[in-house]
Amino acid sequence: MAPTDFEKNLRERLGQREIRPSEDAWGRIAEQLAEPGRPAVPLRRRKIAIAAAACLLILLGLGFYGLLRNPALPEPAVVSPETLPELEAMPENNPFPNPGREEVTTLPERDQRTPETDQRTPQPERDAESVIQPRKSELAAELPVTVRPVPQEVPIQDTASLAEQINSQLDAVLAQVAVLESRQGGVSEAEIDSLLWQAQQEISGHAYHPPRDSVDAMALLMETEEELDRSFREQLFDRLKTGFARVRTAVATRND
Amino acid sequence: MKIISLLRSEKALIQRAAESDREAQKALYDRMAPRMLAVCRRYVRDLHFAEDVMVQGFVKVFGRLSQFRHEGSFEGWVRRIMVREAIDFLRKKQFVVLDEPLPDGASPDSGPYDFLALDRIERLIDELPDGYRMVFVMYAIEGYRHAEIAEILEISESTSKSQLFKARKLLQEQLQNYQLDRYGTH
Repeated sequence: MAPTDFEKNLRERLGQREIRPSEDAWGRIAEQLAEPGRPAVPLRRRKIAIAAAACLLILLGLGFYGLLRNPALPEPAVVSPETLPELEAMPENNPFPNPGREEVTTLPERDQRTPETDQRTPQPERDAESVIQPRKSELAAELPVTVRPVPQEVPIQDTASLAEQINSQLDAVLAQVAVLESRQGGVSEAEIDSLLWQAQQEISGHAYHPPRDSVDAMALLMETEEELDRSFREQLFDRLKTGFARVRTAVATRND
Repeated sequence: MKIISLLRSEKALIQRAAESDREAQKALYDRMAPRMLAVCRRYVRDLHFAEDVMVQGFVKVFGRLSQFRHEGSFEGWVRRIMVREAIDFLRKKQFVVLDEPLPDGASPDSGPYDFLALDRIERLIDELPDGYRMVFVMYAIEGYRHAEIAEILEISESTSKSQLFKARKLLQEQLQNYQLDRYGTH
């Protein structure tokens, strides 16, 4: 069923046929081409715009990633206004300041601890120093190595009062010996030793004892000095005992 | 030399139109719209509807310009889009191609109507039923093969052949009647 001559002729004649469209036909096409689903900007410009947007997104992503990874940059941390003065008032107690993420994670613990401290010491009208002092003591208990109690003042006080205590104890021993002699007519050597031992215990009871939970050079020095003082006191009491026995012998000889 | 520059300019124009350059699209439209409207008019009787089909066809052409590989005729590529758009339009109008067997021994008969004016021939074609007219126009004027017509219209190849046979027969009868009415003789 091949095309007939008529159809071939028809194809040639109709193939060149033209009909002019109406004036608004192109306007309808352009209107549909400019609809939101069909971009009016050229494809090349669209490709450039897409590439620029992709680069911008990558840069933003890298910047955000770097911001997360960089610990030097400050992060927004919610700090309670009650704990803020304490933390700012004692920067020397925190020898390792870390503004990074670890501090942010430890902030809730401090926030939880602060109300407990307030409950233990209900002092609503405290000044800044009174707030700082208990906090310092807490930190000293938490950090025994870095925060140490100052031991220099204690031995000075003990040394000053040691002589007075010895003198007062000797006076007390002499008075008790005098009382015993007046009551019993004489004092045995065992009673004198007992009185001296009690006096020695009284004196040593007021001596300085360093805390046992830490090793301190000054504390060791104080212990050594105390041992030396103890031996000195023993010698002193030995001398006193000898002198007292000699006085008693002299008194007995005079009475005879 | 002049043809090469013309082809280069057409390729550049198509490339610019593919990048949504509105001026290039308008230039292509001005160049091809009259012929494309004639193509649509062969399938759609009403000229206004035919223009609607052409408008939708050009919207698809500009939307698919990036798919054109410059391997064949650009006009042929656009013409095929217009034909498919016209067929889609007629499908929405629910035209029916009756699947009838081809009569045995049937052969086309070229009658004595070569002398008729083009307008009269077009009018006779318009008077064909939709199914006949579509197959006749696609085969006789657009140059589609039966296999292609069968694929586009979603019918069998034998149906395409039978429709063409009947279209020719009917057209021949109409022409004979026209000649009888006008000249009183075959």
